[in-house]
Amino acid sequence: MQRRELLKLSMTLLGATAGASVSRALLAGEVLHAGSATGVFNPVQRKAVELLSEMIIPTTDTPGAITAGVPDFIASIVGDWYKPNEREIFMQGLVALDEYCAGNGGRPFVESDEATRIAALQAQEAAAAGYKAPQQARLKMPDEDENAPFFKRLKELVVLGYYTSEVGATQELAYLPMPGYYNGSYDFDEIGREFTH
Amino acid sequence: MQETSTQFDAIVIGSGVTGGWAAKELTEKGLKVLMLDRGRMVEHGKDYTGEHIPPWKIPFRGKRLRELYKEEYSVQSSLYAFGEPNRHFFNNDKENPYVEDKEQFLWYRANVVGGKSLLWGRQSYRWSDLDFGANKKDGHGIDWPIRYKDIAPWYSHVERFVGISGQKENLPQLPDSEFQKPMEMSAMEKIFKGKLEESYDDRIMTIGRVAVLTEPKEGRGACHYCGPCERGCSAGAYFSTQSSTLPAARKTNNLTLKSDSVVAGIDYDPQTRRATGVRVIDANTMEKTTYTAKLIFLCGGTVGSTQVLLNSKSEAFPNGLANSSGVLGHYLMDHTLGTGAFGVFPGVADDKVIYGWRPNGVYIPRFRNLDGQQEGVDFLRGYGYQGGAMRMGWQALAGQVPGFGADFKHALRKPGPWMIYLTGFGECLPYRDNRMVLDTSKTDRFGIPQVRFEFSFRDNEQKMRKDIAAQGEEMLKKAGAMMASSFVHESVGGEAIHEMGTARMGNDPTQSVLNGWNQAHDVPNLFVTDGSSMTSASCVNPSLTYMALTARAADYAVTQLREGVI
Repeated sequence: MQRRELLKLSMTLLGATAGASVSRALLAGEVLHAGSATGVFNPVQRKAVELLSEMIIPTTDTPGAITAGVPDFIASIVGDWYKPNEREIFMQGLVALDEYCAGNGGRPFVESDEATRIAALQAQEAAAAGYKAPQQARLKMPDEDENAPFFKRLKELVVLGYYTSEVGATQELAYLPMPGYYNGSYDFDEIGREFTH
Repeated sequence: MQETSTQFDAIVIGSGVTGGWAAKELTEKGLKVLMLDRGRMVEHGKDYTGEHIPPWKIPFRGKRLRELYKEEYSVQSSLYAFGEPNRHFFNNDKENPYVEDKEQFLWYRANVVGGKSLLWGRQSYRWSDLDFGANKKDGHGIDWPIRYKDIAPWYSHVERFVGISGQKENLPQLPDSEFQKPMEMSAMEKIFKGKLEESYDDRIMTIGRVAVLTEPKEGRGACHYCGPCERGCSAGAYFSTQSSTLPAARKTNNLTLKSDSVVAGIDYDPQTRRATGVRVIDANTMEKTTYTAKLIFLCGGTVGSTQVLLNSKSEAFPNGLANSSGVLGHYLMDHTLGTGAFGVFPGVADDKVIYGWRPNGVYIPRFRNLDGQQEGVDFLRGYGYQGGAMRMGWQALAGQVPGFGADFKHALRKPGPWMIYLTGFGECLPYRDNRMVLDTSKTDRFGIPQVRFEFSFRDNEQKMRKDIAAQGEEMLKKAGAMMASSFVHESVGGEAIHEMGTARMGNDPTQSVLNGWNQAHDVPNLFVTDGSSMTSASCVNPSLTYMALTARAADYAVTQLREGVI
């Protein structure tokens, strides 16, 4: 789906032009997954994104990023939300991972062993560490920094995609859609994880 | 009473906080009322399509649709409350523009029936004689034609219907409302309150006073702490036109409500000195209709109402209806914002977290320039702080915890330390050249001249803002914040969405548009009861005062109508 069409669709989603029932049906539907059908990633890139998602938020005592559908979310953002220059930064990041792995074992990222993959991603983190985002004018909502480096982008998308997913919100976090009351002195140990709404 | 046949007893222009109140009061007094709104219909519950939406169903998980927002919501999208779950409540800035100059003024506006009552922050505070007497005392602006005693019974009247939760404090500068039980403070807020009140004799902190029910009321449910309110509340826990005043007005069978009705102007008959009708353009079909009535209540929001009056030109009123004084559009005010402080409290109440989304914060009432508290203060009037405490969540932690993998994931499971933020709302003085005008060279799709603003905060406000930052930081430090820092962002008019003053009340018809009953000096059957009627700005949130003024004006207008005076 083209970006512009998706914008139109999302306008319809919550706009008054659609009846409430239609809006609800659309909201409940597979709209977000539309992005994953763009084919923004080829199979190798897709595999890399899956590996990277799980490297950042792995399966532990709760499910990891893949189970939470993070790779689909990343595909929808990179394919349908990013501007061309942002998409280019992301794709170049994948290239850089491959180049690192090629120089450290001679295989592409997706075929490298775990230690090499971790080292490759750490190299990207180090490369991004010195980056300073430009100051933004106060009047605007802080718009996404279009020049943010690959690692910052990747980590942001994995974190956002995971903690706002149904799996992340209900299993890693404690999802509270209908609290019923307020308690501002709730014992953390009773729940052991962060509440989310 | 005039010997003319009219279609309605009264027309209410606008359906937000004040329009809803006007419609309720007038219909309950037996008047046949037409309520007009330029926006689309939003039915209670049914059209809250973003209510209770889980995060994974929000398009792009809430990431901003940058291209669309820039093109069509250039002003509205800068608001904290704007997003995909409720974008359908907001004005489309491309369809309905004003002459945008973001250095001057930001005009936040809804474009639906219910107006900003669906989107407001719900903070509700009575004003006091410190406010109503302020202009007279220091000579800025003109004197208010009313005092606290005139409005106090009307505060009670509206509070009993609206439902305001809060804590009695017996403060002269912030009179108590008729409260439902207060919401609770969080563990950190309780600690901060204790330290603050230990450290200062002149300051207290109270839970926010908010138009959200903590006890059920007449078909409306108590808050169930799901948040965020601005997506709509089908339980009706927060006050909105849809949850509260509209059902009451409909119950009388005296109400006709027309959405998509853009008011181009109000007609005036110089013979009778009365407003005779309202000229309306259908927003969808562009069809033009004039509705007539004996009484007109203009409740379109400060900027909207003033635009209607400025655009209602006649031989008798070449500069806008009811504008013989020439002050219409001038003396625009808003509260200063963007100034405050925040502090982090590592290790304090670390075992406590927040259960539930409390739609409310805490409030530190004004302490500057009260009797005996003027010393060392280099500005007039004062400010109050709104704020709250929260724990650093996964979003904030993710930006701070380096690395990736199981350790990173685990580090985000427990919330970070408590943080307290305090934001000052400062009173803005009335200045004649802070104003809105109509730019006749630029019209909108209805042929109505667009609004242009000329506005800036001045020396008094800037001095006050410095004090807001300094005092905020000091209070947090005294309370033991490990890191406390203040911020003084640039503040632009309109950001507090407390715009007011452009058709002010006053005793002198040569210096004011409205008298002490919100009645136009020049046009006795025209009442303006929204923020445009305010003579000064106070530093506390104004909506409750607008409601009380509206109910008071409606009572007066109906008496006048019955007595044949108007």
